[in-house]
Amino acid sequence: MGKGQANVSNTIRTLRFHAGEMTQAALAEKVGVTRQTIVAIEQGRYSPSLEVAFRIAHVFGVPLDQVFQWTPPGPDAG
Amino acid sequence: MTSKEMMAWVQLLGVAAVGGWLGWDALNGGVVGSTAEIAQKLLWAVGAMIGFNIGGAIIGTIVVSIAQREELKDEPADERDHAVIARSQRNSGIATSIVAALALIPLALGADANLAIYALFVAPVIGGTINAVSELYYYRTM
Repeated sequence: MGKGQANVSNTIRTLRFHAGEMTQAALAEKVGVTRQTIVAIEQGRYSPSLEVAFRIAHVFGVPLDQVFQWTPPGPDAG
Repeated sequence: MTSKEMMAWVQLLGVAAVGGWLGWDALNGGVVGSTAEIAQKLLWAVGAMIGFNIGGAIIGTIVVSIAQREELKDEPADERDHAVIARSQRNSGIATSIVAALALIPLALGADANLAIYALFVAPVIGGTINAVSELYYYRTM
């Protein structure tokens, strides 16, 4: 968790927009984490646990892969 | 700024304040003395740091709340907090162990045994400082 997650992107900002401009604080409360954690996830600085990832997807009512996307590392990556 | 970050800053300021006092005392001949005298002084230093942290937490909460125009609450720790705490404590443990081990070298070479008293104080203080710095770093990068 939290390290080497540069290949993981997410669409939380877009999903919040389509959910009536849901605030980060509101999402954090529904998911059960702090607002700072939602900020870190949204900015791609922190990869959440699988459980939190599922909770986020559940809040928006979408499949997990619509929230998080993983790009395989290129040939240059160690 | 979150409550946890504020507490890390308070801890750093406490170390700086007490470290400054001990440094000033050392420059004025306070380094030497009997084992009991040194231990008593360092106990006062520990008490001062505890007092500073309690007072700093109260004052810091008020000041940050006014600055942010929002009450600063200590939210329950979530998985990211636990990850930050775990990494910070790992760094702290490593630093404490290194300082404690290094302190044994001059003692093994015959340095004054009072050095051990200082090492007992300095090693955990450095560990605590590394812990606070690590928390501030990880909260900004992960």
